[in-house]
Amino acid sequence: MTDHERCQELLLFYTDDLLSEEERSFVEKHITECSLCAKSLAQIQQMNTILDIWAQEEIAPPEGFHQELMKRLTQVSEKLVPIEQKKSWFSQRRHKIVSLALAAAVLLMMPVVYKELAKNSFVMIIPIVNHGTGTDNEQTAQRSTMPEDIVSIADNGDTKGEQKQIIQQRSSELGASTENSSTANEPAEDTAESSVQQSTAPENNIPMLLSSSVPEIENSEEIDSEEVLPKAASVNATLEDELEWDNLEKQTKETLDLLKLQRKEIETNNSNLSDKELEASLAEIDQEIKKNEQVLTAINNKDKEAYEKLVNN
Amino acid sequence: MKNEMELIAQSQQGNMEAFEQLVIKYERKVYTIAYKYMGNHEDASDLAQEAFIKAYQSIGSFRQEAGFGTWIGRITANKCLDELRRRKRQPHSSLDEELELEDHQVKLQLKDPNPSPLEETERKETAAYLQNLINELKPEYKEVILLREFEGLSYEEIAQILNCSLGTIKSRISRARNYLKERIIQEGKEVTL
Repeated sequence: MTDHERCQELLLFYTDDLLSEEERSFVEKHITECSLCAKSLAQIQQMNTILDIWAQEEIAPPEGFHQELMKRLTQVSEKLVPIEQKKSWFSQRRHKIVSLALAAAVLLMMPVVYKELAKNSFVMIIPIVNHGTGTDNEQTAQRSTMPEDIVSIADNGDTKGEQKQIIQQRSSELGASTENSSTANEPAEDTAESSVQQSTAPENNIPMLLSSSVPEIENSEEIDSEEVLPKAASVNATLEDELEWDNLEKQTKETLDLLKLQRKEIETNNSNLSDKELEASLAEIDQEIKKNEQVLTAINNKDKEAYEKLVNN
Repeated sequence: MKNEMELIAQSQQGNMEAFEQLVIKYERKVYTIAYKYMGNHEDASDLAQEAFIKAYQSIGSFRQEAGFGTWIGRITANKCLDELRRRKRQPHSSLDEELELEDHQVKLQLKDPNPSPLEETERKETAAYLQNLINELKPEYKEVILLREFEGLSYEEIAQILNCSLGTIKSRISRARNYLKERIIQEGKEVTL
């Protein structure tokens, strides 16, 4: 490779300040001798200027964006209301799930309790993240945190047939574990509702994942961890499905990504925390990261046993 | 406006009005990210909305110690990366028109018969010009340019996010930037800002 060729290769990284001392010196010396490379450097700097302008340019949302977004957000939250009013089995369940999520969120904001929380924290993070891919994310995210929204998924024309089939299949697999409590509270008065329960229950991994943190939550007397299940059945149904492995992998990776991002944020922006709080906070995030990495390994190995052990720990 | 921590705490309890305040504060940022990634208003609107919906649903996991803006920015970028990858897996009819950057062969699209006039110097136009170039990149090149040049992430961070080797990331960034540079030269685009 000639000096000119080498310089051409290094120039792009020169402006990114990514060269070793030796490489940097080489480039700086070479451009004084080679007009072509000097010109290339000027061109790269010109491109960088354009890139900077582009990167800094803010784009205003089009008219109606905010209204449309708020409409969608309201729909997402309001979908809970009608079913809640019916006092169905599922709405009671959701209420408990939300209580758990809120309790978890509150606890997470208190560095003091991080240590006690650490052993349960992982299970609270996992369900927050999507189970889906691509444009299905929103729907599956709704499924994750707001089980009632499965209604729109099951009935949604966009939902792929095979996914419906999987959901229905899992419904029937789980029917036995959910039937009792559902029929006890809502005695077949509404067939649409019972089909809702059937199709949502299997997707409802949250109660399964959250349930292990139940005993630690302050108002745990209000939360019936047995009722919040279906634990093992849900795991089996999930793991038997190859598609779910992919979703779990994606979800766990995303969780890790967000955890690492938050760790970085806390590291660089912690003026509001005492040293002790900072240490506790970072230690807890590290533990979550470690657990999620273990889960990811189990998922990558399709190791059902290890996965269940981690999730149920 | 209430302070952000308060708004987040209220949003975590399902208070939509509080969440709307967060939306108002960050919608421009989120939309900008979505637009940079997706390159058109229709997709940007969809993805930006999905990002907010996901944030609303996931806010229970949000830690106050981390910045909300960074958090929702990451969610938005992840949504867009997912979408770009989904499209990569399902190539559309314009594939033939896309750029071929393999093996250092930079095959340019047919040149625009009406090249951008040299007098374009305003920031908006320049940004739009570059956005068009970036839109032409294949997803694997587009995503590295976005992560590096827009989000300002390190090569290591990009490698981690995209689950690729550092070598692959360096190579992609280098090729993509080289391509952008060549296009800029070819079209005589200049800025003096």
